[in-house]
Amino acid sequence: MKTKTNSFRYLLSQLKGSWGYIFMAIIFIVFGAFFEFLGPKLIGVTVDSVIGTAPFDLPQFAIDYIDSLGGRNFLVKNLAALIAVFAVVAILTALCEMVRLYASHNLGENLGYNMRQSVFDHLQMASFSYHKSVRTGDIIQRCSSDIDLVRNFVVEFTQLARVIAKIAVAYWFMFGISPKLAWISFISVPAISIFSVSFNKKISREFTYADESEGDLQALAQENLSAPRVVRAFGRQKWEIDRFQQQNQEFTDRWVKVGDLLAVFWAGGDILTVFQVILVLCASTVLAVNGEVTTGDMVSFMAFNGMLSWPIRSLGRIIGDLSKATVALGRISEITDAPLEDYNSGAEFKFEKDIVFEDVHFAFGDHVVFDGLSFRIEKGQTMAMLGASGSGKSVMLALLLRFYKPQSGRILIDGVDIENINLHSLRRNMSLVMQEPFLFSKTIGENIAITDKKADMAKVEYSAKIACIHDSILSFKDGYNTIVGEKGVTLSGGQKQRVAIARTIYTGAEVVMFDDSLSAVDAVTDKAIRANLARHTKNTTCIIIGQRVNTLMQADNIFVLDKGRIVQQGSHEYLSGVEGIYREIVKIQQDIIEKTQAEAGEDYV
Amino acid sequence: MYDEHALADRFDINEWKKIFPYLKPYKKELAWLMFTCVFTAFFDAFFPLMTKYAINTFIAQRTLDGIVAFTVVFILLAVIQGWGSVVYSQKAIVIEMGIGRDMRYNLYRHIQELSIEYFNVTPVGFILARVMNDTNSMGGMFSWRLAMIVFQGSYLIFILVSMILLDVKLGLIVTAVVIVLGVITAYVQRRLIVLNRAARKQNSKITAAYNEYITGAQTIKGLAGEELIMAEFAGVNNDMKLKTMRVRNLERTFMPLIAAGASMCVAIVVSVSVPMVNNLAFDVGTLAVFISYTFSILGPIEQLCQCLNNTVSLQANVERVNHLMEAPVAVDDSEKVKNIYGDIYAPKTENWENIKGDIEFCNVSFRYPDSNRYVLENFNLKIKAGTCVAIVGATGAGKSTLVNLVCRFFEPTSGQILIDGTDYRKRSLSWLESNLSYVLQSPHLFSGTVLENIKYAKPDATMEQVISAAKKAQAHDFIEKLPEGYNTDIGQGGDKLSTGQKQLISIARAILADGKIMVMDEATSSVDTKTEQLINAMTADLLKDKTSFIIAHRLSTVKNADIIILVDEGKIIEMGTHRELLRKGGAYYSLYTSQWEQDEQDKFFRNLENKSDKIEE
Repeated sequence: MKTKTNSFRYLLSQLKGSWGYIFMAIIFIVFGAFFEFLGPKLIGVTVDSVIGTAPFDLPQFAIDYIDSLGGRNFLVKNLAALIAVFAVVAILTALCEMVRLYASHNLGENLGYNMRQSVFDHLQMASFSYHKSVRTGDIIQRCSSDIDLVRNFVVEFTQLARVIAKIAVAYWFMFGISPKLAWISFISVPAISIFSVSFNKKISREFTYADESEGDLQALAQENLSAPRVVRAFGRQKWEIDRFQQQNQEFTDRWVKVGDLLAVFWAGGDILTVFQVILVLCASTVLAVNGEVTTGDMVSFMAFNGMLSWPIRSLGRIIGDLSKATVALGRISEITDAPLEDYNSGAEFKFEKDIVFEDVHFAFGDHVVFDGLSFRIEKGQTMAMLGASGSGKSVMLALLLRFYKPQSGRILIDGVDIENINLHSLRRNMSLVMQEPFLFSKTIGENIAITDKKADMAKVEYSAKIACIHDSILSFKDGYNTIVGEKGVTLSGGQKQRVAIARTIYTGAEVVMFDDSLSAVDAVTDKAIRANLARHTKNTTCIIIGQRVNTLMQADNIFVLDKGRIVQQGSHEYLSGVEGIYREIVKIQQDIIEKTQAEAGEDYV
Repeated sequence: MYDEHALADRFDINEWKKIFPYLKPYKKELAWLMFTCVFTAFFDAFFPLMTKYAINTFIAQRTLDGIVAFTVVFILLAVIQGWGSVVYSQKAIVIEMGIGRDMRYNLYRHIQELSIEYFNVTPVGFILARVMNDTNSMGGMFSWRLAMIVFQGSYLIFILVSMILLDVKLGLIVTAVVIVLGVITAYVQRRLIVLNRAARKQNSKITAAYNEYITGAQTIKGLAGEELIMAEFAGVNNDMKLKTMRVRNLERTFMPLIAAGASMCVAIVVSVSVPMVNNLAFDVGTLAVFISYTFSILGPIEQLCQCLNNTVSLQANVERVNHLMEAPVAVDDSEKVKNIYGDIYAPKTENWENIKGDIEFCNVSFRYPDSNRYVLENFNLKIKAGTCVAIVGATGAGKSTLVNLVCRFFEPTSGQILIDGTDYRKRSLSWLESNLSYVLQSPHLFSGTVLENIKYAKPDATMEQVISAAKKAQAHDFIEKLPEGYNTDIGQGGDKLSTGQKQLISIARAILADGKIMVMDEATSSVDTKTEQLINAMTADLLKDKTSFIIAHRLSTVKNADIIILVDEGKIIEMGTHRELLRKGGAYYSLYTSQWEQDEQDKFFRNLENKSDKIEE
């Protein structure tokens, strides 16, 4: 129940600024319907009072006006006047329709724009853990087809108003002409609507089956198409074709069945519509012969009848759409209910002295990652952290960036709890390079300068040079304008890592964090990048986490992480000299070099 | 290649002609459909004449004599027309689905014959859209849409003819108006289609943006780039709104005007007829018919124009389907080979030679068809039967190339690959396939039971053979524990199983295939550690007596291979035995030591943990 009010509230918030259009649409729906049905009414009057000689069945002011012109004779002699009347009505109808469409199109497009933007913005501002918990495909579906559904529905809703207005206005005219005949004609409204609603219900089950068999066929084809190697390696093409054909036939049969049902129902609808025509025609004939209605009335009624058959038949479908839209709206508002990160409050990032982890405890559910993690990094230092894979080194970085929050303990920068630092400014000044960096489908230059509205090319090139990727970029045909990703060049893992490093350098962050991010770079380039970084980052604080001693040994301070705590700390020289995990690991490394040499053969030098 | 090429708006009958053979089987249904279209249209045009009859007979003469008969006849006519529309819909659906089914079948058949190259450069979604959507729209074209054109067209003709017969002058006036309205409508709808296409294109940009920025959310957060990204999206979003509005603007300007035009038609009819009726040249009944005709003239015009325009737009779908249908089979047997060895539908297994397993690369040069860069140049390598070749390197380094060539997923650009001393192109693809055992990185099982999936390799295998293969693959035990053992349904793509379990089944499948050439393509890289150890332990046994290729990321698993090939950026950079490569002290050496260090270090930390656990106990 709560979600229902939430989703309704969401819809209302998205309609902000569109109420004028809604109001406008409704007014012009009513006016439009009035003018539209005024036409047949005037035809009836023409038949009775211009062709025939009956008195005008019009409001008094219109009769007075016609009389002032010269009455019936004037109209008979001046056809242009008669055409002008019809023309005015037609133009008024068209104008009303234009204004109505203007309003409902604006309503729909504004709503679509607002929903797309609000969902997108919300997703951008949603917490990191929210993103970890959802599936991209599902979210994208909600963002595209669900938003379309809701938008169309709101526009449809004005359509419903239109159908109702049309029916109401038409019957207002009809009851004005002849209540008896109007009642006779009105019987069919509920009859046809009920028929149409029950048809929608009955057919929907067969539709579901047919849809499912289509899904099955699609899935089968997809399975085959995504494993062409398996099919070929085992030479099963013929079998695959037979299997497909079987499901293909099933799919065909299902839809033919739906089609057969539809055929009967459609024909039923057609017959009902014709029956209504017959009913009205015969009844009005009888009434006309008895002198209760005029010939003109009858002509008007036949016209009204024809104009109403579509709106009445579409009632059932519109009602069916309502439930679909409600579901879609619920799915969208689930996204917009996700908790947001707070980007506004907090102090500006300032870093003069140090970063301190103070007795930090953190666990994912039952799995304890940090059990009292404490350490200190001085500004300008390069700090390295060594630990087993899965020991939580990356989580430490995530905590620093406030992707997660410690369950207890504090993380302080210059003594200020990072919880009190403005999130935006914190992340701007602390930049992370991931092991498998994500690059956007843009040019390499745009990727490096992603944090800037307009790329500063000199800075981009400088950053690329430091990351030792400048030459590789120039070797591409389009240089910095080379597009990366699916539609462009595929970069190797090492190239991606280097572009990501350049991206980080470009931001000019004061703290740079490397999450094993040179793992795919070869040894020579690795060394060159380090040297460049050391030159560039004199004032920058560096945090490197890694698995191998050689990637960490140059750090000013190395922390050894074990079971959620720091167990050792110091320079490479110091740690190699004292008993402990670090020395063990250095020893392992040396052992391996020896053992490898042994494997290579005794005579190896 | 798969570009949704901005296909022509022009109508090219030659492309359509290729579709016509699909209509042939439905000649009878089509004839029925056309007949019922004309038939029901005739009735629709006829019914207003009943009104005329009622007015002129009953009302004008102030009598109700014969009204019962009149009503009965009218109802009968309505029922007959109802029967017509039932037949109409039933025939239409049969044709629609039938043509769709036949096209899908032929497309699918062709796709199965296409070589791997096609799949490498064409996204699955693209092929799928051809098979599913385009075939559906072709089916719809030659049933519902064709029927709609015939129905509305004949309805329009019937009422115009009827009007001209009733009164030449008025009838011609209305015809003239209809033509003008038709031309305007056709033009507007043509424009609408173009604008709509632009809007749809923009829509896919929106979806792409969602995809990209949701996938990259963590990166954006880390860089605090949300505001820029949001502003960027607002631009795309606004373009979407503008492009849609462009469609809507046109719609709301012209559609009401065209409707007004049709109403003017009514006005003219009424006004012109007034003096005629008064001069008794025209009766009220005829006037009623005219009014009723002119009121219903707009629908057919709009529908007809829309149908015709949409038909022209279908040109793109037709071309895309033909394009796929005519996609060349890059790797195919020559006619001569097919004559001796048969094709995939009728293999002549009796002519197939037994394979020994010697493979030789003779001066092989190779570049992928979508690239200009040679990845192999004059490559020579003799692989004796029973040899194990390991190909190692980083992800994306191009480790699959050699295997692609051996499996004949691709053929050498120049040079030859000999199997047992004969160029493999002199024997059939099916022959080679029947001698392959292949284990891929991602297991790729198919929906169905465990049994069906293992038997995929050898449909005529006995249960004993299946079980024995499963046992060798260490899969038997867990299969037995599944709810229905070997008959357990594993869901779409085997989703009900863990990746590790799927991989073991795919290994059982490869074992059952019992090919002389065995390929293990990163078989352990997506499975959990336990499965990895299982697979590593069984590998040596699996490869016994086979010429094998192992593609691997972890070097520890391949150091016993007879030949190790190290690949980087598509090219072979080092080749030799484990020992030779270590002695070289190059890339292989540093890769090997670093991986080993990593393993040892992890082991060390794990031991540390175990030790402390014991102390705590």
